Amino acid sequence: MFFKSTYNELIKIAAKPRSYLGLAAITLIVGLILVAMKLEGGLYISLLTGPFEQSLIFEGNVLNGNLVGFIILQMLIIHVPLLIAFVTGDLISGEAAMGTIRMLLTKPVSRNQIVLSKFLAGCIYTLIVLLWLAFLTVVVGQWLFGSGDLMVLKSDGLVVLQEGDVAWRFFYGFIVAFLSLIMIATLSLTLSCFSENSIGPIVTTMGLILLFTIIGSIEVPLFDQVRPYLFTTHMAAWRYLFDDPIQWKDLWFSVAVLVGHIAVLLGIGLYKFKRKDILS
Amino acid sequence: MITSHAWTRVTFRKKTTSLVYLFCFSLSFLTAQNASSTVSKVYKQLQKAKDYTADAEVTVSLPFIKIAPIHAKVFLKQPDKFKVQSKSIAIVPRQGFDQLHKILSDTTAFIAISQGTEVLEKVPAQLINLIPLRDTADLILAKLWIDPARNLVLKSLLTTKSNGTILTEYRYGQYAGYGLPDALLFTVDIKKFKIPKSIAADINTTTKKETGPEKETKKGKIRIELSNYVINKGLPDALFKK
Repeated sequence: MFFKSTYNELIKIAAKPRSYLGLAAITLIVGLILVAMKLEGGLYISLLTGPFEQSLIFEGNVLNGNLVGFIILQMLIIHVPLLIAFVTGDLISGEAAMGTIRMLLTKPVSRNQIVLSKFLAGCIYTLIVLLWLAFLTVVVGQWLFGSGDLMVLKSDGLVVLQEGDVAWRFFYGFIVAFLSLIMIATLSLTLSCFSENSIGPIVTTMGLILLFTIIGSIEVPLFDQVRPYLFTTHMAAWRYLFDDPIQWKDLWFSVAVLVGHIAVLLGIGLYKFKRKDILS
Repeated sequence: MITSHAWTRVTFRKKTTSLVYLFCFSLSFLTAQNASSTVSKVYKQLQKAKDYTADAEVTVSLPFIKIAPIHAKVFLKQPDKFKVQSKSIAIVPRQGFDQLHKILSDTTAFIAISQGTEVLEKVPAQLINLIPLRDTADLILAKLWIDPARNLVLKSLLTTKSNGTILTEYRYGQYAGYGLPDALLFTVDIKKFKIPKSIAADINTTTKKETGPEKETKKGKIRIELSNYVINKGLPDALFKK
């Protein structure tokens, strides 16, 4: 019954036009970035190598599919959560707003199972969005720009990863990125349990992402204690996989923080929905 | 009133001074001649390889850049064509392989001055400074440590307006007869690299607190091991077009 409920939730997601908005936005943005990189990618390469060019020459195919894929990922991974929240923030509050939640609860499934099936459907939607992003960035990127070593721009230098050492990093990078997107999906789903309309959870999720990102990026000692526990600090944990050597300890800490957030938020959501008065 | 004795003393002093100046001038002229001759011999030796290709193993140890050793192929055609071909990203010094050829090719552009001898790894080397004669030249100063017995550059320190300073140490093997090294060790100055986290989208990296004044430039090393030289096979110019 749980899986049937999940299947029904997926049908509902597929039936809503807003679910395709995220995919369309990603396709458009990635398409624009690919065209821009094809036409003027050299400018970005200058940004990477510029500080060293007085003394050094960078030979080889620097502007390749791996680099373009990485650039797109780091640009979009900040914005994709907003597109995810757009759908998952509506999963419960949308039912309340449309007045279908009462009917939903008449089904022979527990309230916990309803929330969990919506959570699972949200995860599957997130996976589809991420797979589409992966296809556009890695597959189309490789097709347009060819393969080669990956030059990773960091705030304090460059890391050049050899071509054969990149594919597995992308694979696990997408898994970690998936985890951070599930965290966003869980946050918006939980907020959705508290609301009777769709806008509230979506806007609150976006607001929290913005607020925590700002707190995380302002380097003042006041925020040093809280920064490691903000989920936004760990949203880009996938980047650890593109370090050399990989900071495994930091990566696992980020994964633990994200999993912890997911568990706590899902628990709050289950608790709230179980005690929710259904008045509509 | 000047006495004849005093007059003779003044005249003698003037003559002595003139002789010292003449001696110094002659000495510097001879030194320059000697230095120029050594440089010419080195250039003549380098001219034996009109073009060449070689396999290169590039090991980079630079501040702010992490990169594994890579394999590349280098192509050089005199006087000024140079190319590195690699499947991987290769980082090589901007002025390295062909800069010495370019500088030495125009003997009217510099004056060579001997600065004495130094022993480099048990080999007595003649230290020669090349000073450009034109204000517009890119070269500011070139210091060459030359083994006069084999006409080989053992070490060079080139300072140019466009590319800063680079120190190169040369190791020779079976291609020493052509003046071609088996290994090159470049020491380059790298400017401090720091860009905002927002541009790098690198929010994971924590900023390290500086304990003291940080240098604006740091030194890095690039080692290039060359092997399998193919010399004077006639490389086409088209090969060097980008």
